[in-house]
Amino acid sequence: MNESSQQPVSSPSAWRKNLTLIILILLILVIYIGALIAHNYFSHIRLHQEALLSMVSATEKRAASAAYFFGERRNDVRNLLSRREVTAYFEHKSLGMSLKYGLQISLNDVRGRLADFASGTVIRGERVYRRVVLLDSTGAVVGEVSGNGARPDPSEDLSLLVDPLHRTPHLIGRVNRRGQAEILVSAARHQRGQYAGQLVAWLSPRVVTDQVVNDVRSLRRFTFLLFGDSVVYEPDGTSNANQTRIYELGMGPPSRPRFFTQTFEDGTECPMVGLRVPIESTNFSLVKVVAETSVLGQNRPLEFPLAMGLLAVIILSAAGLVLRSRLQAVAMEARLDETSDQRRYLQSQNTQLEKEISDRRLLTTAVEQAAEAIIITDREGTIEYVNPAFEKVTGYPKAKALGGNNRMLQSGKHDRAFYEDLWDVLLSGGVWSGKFTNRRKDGTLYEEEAEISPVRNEAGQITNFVAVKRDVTAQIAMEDQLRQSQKMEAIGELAGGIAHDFNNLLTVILGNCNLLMLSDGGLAADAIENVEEITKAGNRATALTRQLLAFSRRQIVQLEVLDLCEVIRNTEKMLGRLIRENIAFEVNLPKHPLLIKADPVQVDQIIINLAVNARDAMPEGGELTLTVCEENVTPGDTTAPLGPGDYVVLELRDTGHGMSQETQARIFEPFFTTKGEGAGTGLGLATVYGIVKQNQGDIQVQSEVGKGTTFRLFLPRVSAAPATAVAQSSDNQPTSAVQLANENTTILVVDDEESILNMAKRVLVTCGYTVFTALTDHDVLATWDAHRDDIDLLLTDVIMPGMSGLEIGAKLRKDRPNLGVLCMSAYTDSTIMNLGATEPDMFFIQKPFTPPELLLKVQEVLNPSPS
Amino acid sequence: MVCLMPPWSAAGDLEDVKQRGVLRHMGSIYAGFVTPTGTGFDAKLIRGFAKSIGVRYEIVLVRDPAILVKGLTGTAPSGPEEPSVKPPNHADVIADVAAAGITITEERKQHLLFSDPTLPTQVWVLTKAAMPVKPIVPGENAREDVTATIALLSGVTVLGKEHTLLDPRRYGIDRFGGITKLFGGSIAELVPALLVGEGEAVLLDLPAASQALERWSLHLKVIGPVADWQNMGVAFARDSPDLTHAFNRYLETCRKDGTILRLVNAYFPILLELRPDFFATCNSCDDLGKRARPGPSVPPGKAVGE
Repeated sequence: MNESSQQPVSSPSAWRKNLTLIILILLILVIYIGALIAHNYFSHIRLHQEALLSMVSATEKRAASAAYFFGERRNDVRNLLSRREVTAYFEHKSLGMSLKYGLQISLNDVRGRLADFASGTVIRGERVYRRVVLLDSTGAVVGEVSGNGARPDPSEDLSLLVDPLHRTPHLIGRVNRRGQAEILVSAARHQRGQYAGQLVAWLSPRVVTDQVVNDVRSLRRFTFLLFGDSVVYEPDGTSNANQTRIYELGMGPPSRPRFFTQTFEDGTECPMVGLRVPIESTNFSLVKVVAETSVLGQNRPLEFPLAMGLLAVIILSAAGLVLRSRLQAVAMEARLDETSDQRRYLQSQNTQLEKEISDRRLLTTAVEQAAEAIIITDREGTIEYVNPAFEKVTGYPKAKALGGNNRMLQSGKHDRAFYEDLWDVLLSGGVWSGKFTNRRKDGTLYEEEAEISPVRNEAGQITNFVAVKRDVTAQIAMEDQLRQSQKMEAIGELAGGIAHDFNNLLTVILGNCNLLMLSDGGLAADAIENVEEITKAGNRATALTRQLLAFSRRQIVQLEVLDLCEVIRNTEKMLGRLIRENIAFEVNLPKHPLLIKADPVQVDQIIINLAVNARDAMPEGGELTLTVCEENVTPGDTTAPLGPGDYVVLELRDTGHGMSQETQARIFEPFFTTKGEGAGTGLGLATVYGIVKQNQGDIQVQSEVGKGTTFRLFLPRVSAAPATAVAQSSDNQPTSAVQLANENTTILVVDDEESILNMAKRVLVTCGYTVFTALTDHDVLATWDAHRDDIDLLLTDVIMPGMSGLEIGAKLRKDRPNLGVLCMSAYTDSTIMNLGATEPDMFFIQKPFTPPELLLKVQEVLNPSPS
Repeated sequence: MVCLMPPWSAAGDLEDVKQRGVLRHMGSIYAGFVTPTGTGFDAKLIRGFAKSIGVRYEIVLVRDPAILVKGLTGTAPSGPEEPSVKPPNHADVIADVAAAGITITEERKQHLLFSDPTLPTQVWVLTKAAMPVKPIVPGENAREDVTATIALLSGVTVLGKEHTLLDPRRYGIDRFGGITKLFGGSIAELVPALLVGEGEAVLLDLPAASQALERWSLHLKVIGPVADWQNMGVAFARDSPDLTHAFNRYLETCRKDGTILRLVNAYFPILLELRPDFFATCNSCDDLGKRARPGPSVPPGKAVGE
């Protein structure tokens, strides 16, 4: 485990030590909260009792006030009955006075008094009585005064109010015929000991409400009067006797609050508190009903303690949960540390695994994308895996390859012992490396380098073999081509060197033959014939030398932009004459021009050489097809012999006897020929090869014995317009008419070949020139120092030991800028070929040359034409 | 304005009154007709009249009812029954009109002009409450009641005032056994005289009786009438017809504009109970254009319109 897992696990134990203390604190807290709850509960109870007592006290005060109010009303009636007018009326009546004579006067006084009583008895501007009636002893109305809004019922039988027994005013609470509750103050009038009448006064409901009820009325708070135990006196004077609860209140003990639930019209229910307090000296009770919450508050005594208890339980539970959670957290922390270590370990493992996966993915990707074909087989050679490169190389799709045996790739080019050796190495645990010649799915052969290694399991047993193979077919072909090219290059170098020497020799031979023919004494006829034979042999040698130079690409060429199709059209007739009539000759040319940059003479030479070769390959006749086309070689195109680019392809296909592979490998070698003795020089295809190579082209040969041969010449295509054909002049041909030179003309001839030096001197001296010769650069400088002012022309070989001919010419011209310089060389390399461009006024003559050619060139240098 | 005017100027007709610029009202303090403060039913009525004709109002208070004719005309009748006609002494004329509960009688019409009736009246007999005479039970008509009343007065000393309609001798009381006694004091002192024992019964005009019953309600009782219904009016000198006519026009105006009912309600509301027919042509002050609705709803004893 890592260090995090070694962290001290003392936190849980510390918590356990503190657990007792915490529990003790919690117990104290429980007791304290319980005490608070009990105290609160009893306080609540006491407050409720006090609130109820306060309600009772307030209601009793109001009942006392109501008793006083009603007492005053009794006094009102008592006083009214004792008024003089009332007394006089009843007195006059008792005296026997009639209304007609005097009693009416008293009656009017009584009525006036009643009116004064009704209008004058006011409290806070409100009439206390809404109706006052004075009845006689029979119940007939003596006088009546109605207050505002009072509408006496005419059909009412007021005789019912006659009550002689109540001598003192008393209150009557009743429900009248209209269903209205009303309070009356009634008093009997006795005159001379006899019942004389009854005075009845109806209290105004508003005054009763203000003075007796005097409370804000709402659904949850109202006060009312109760007559007896059932009739409710509503503030507006109406009665409401249908409330069962109120009956209960009326029947209940006085001054004792009663709790009940009131259901309102909207269906809601409300706990109420009701209290009935009797009004002294009346049969009335004052009933006060209020919502329980208005008296006792919103919370019931048990609600707050219960809430507190619940809160305490919640707090304690929360504390317990916190404690438990903390303990669990400590354990969890320890577990978390362990888990964290495991997680880190897993993370590292995961990282490693991811790296391995990444590596394997990279490896797989590399294997999949590798250019080398990779095959994994079991011990028996059954293929278990191949990568895409395998499919590409062999042509076998992966699905078909898997499950197959690698023997399907065998080409038969290797014998049994080859494979036995291979298996011996592999099964012995070794790594086999080597080359295979295998066969693709399409039957073609390919070369591959392979390295096969055994794959072992954990027990070290060989379970599989993995082979990494690289297709080297193209590489081998390239190597063959390189070797061929190097061989051809070496042969070219050899041929070029030989041709140089031959040129010098031929210059001497042909020059001397010419001098012999021009000798003053003349030659015998036999001698002349011999010299002519020598000259012919020399000319043939010169032609061979030129072919060798062409092969070695040292031939001087005049590059032009040509339409190859036009060139072929110009030579078509000549080709027709070259081939025999039993050969069908067909030319396929595109209509549009295909331009190349080449020496037209060399192009003719290529076409003629190939046509002659084809003709000779078809002695029995056949078909010869010449085709010109354009071909674009793209990158990766391995079928073309050259790199990417646009090419013009000249194709000659014959149906001759064809060539074997061995023959094909040597056809471009100089002097290699399959023709019979004397039938060919062996330089035809070599010349073609040299010319094509010199023009940055290449040759592709396809030949099969008995079926014919196809040469495909790739020449770079150019886009410039072809130059106008210029008729070749024959001015460069040597003439026999050589004018004699001025005797005052002195020529310095320089050549390291003494024979050339002598031949040239004899030719020039013969023609009247003064000639100095020099074999080395020291001789040149010495002669120049001696005859500086006499020498008119420097004739010098180019390639010489020490200073070259060009350097000598340049040096001498520093002293004599107008010194004529004529260079000669048996070489045809670029330096010499570009001589005229680099050194103005320096002329060149190619070896071998004849005496007339030399003389003409000398005269040309000494007397340059104005052009 | 109350003053005791010396007899230095004669009564005048309307033009004289207007020329003089003052209307002199002769009256006695009696019941609610003329009060000690110079108000009362008749005082207010004459005051309104003076104002209507554009003159100043003056009241001339007299104690002796006998001066009524002399004060207006300057001459006085020689006897209570048939006063003789003497040449007027203009110096005795102290007023242009007389009004203080004066009942219109034929004999007075011989000396004076009377306006249209202003109030109905009836002469009642009142006794102390303790008097054993029991009030009559009203009969079919007034005559029966008068007969029944007078019959009850046999042996009863009836106190009255000479030269007025309250003279007991005018009603034959003595012929039915009653004892007549003329009171020497003012007419307003008749009830107190009864209460102090100067008589057992007293004659009072109904308006005066009603006020007496209000004032001494527990001490008086009404026995019954001694005469049929009569009318009261305002007296003028016979040479003041224009003034009389002017007053009648004014009185008619007061009937129409409610003044009469207002004054009756104020001073003699019982008349509206007992004689509603008399006030049938009067309009109420608060209901002009309608017939008067006299009745018990009008509280007595209140000054309406003052």
